[in-house]
Amino acid sequence: MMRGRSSLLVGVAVALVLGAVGAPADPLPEGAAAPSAPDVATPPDKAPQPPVMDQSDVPPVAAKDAASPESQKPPADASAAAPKNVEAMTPSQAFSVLGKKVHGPDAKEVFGSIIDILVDDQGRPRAAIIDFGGFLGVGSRKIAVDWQLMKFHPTDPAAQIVLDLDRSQIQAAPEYKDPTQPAEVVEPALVGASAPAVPGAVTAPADQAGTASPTGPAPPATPPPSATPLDTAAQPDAEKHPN
Amino acid sequence: MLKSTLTEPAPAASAGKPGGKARSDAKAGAQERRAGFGLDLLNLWVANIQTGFGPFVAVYLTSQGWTQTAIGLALSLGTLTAMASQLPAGALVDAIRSKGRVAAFSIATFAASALLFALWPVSLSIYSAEILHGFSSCTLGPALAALSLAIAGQAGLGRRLGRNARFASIGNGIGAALMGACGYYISERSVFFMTAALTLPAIYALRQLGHVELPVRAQAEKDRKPREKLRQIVQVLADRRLLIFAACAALFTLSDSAMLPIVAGALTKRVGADASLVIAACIVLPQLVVATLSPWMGSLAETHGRRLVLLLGFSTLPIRALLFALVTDPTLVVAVQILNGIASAAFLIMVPLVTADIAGRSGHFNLALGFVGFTIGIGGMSSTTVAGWVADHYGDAATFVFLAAVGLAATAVVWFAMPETNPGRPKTEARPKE
Repeated sequence: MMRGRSSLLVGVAVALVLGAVGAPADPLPEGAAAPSAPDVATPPDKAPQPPVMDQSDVPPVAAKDAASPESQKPPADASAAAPKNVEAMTPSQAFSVLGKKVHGPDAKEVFGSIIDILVDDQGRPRAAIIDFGGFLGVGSRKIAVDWQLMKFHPTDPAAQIVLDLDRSQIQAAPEYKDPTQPAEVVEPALVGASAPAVPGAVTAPADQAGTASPTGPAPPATPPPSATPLDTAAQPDAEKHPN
Repeated sequence: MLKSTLTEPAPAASAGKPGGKARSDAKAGAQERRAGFGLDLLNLWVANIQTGFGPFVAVYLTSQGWTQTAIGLALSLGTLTAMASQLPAGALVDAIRSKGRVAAFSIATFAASALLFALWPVSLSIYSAEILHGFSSCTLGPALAALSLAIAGQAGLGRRLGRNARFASIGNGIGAALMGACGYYISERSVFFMTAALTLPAIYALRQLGHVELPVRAQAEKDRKPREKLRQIVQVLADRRLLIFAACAALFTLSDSAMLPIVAGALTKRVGADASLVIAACIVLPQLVVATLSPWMGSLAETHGRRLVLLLGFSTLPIRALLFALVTDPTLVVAVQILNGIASAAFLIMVPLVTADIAGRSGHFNLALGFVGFTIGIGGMSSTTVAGWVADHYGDAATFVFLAAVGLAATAVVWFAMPETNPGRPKTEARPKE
């Protein structure tokens, strides 16, 4: 009987392994295949969407969102085979942010790293998910912050990404659970006003969205003062652009 | 050559604490002593290596631009492999005569997977590395236990395991410090290069005990017909004491595993810039406690029985969980982690010891150990899931109350159902080890 169980488990594992090995080819979420070796020049395929030029600060993200992180080198002169509509973006124009460290306002302290980006129906980034704290991976927390709180300095290796919050504000931010639940995003406007927003005892409601509704956010509870549930009911973003 | 290698590990090992000759076996030949030191260091380095494969993997993969989904997949793959491998790996180790070779091979596999992590952080190699590591963890643990049994003999096993636990926890502490420093000052990637490098001293330590491993195997090595062998396996695994113990162990991890992550998460939320330091203290302090207490606990198990040590360790679970529910001051939180050390020491020693009591000389020791490891894995896996769910819905305090209840149940099972397994020194110790 023990044997039966173990062999069944082996079967499961084998199936899983096969599935996983097959996976890279599949459209796994961006990061999975992307992070690959630094030497993948992966030039093409970001071309099709020339960034909207009026938001000259934003495009880096959109670009990187679609393509690989780590592709630090500009696609040097596309060779013969490359499609026509290729634009070379240097790291100073567009750079990878997924997994990159996020610095505090003083550019010194490291808060954590960007682990995900939430975009609206236009594909514009609305919020960054940041993983911070902990020791060797134990006890870290995820929070969602408004995209406008992020400042990007592609050419400054010491502080490429700066989050315009202080530590107490980060601590007070409600935890980001997972993509199926409404994200409570720390907004710039309110940040200035309410200094140490009380850590909301607002555990996300949504009794198990889980597999049932892949995108459907459950009815949000009353949001804490400093955070706005980021729903499809998008508020028109606007306001000041980051830097 | 032999002489010079012998003198090397000796000072390092005895630096740990006085109880240098922990074997009860009268014969203190230089070679056995050397094997003992080798085993000490082997435990130290292996624990050191294992630190790199812990939760830090998620940090590393994040820094490599992996998405959370992909990271979750990689980690579950590792966990599932480990779960699925427990029994087959145990049987495999039983079947292979040279446990030293099993250990060497497992350690080499660790090196390979650490290098895969460091050099090619792409899906295929990370998944392979997780699978390799998951499987070789399941062969290395039992192999180490078997080597300990071979070197110390059944009678000296409790003390031997006490020493194992001491050196393993020292290794864990060193590993956490080294890897924390590497990750902080150099890069996340460097952690895995260092992990790979640390397999070298582990192999070196393993070579110190090369000769000693054989004797114990000889007595269990009776060729039987496959049919009878199967019957014997069933007999070992269906032993009532083993089943009860496996249940206790599963309840233990069910209560234990989720505590630290939840506490650490709460600390990150409450404590300012020092949160990481406090969490580091929460991790390291229990290791110090284990290093201090475990030899004593090993002896205690020999002199006063297994039940006492089990109860001592298990009963700290509900107390710790309740204290975590009440205490918020970071210093006190760290102090409560002393209880974690007591529980870990007892658990680390008692799992192989009780299993050896029950199945040590059946020829299926490693299989039995794999079985217990399997139930432990189930407990650990469900712990974070269940506790995470409770925490989401009812908050941290309720979660700790829940974990305390589970811990209390575990203690109750030990108290009411778990028999004493100490074979009683003279009577059952039929095999003359000396």
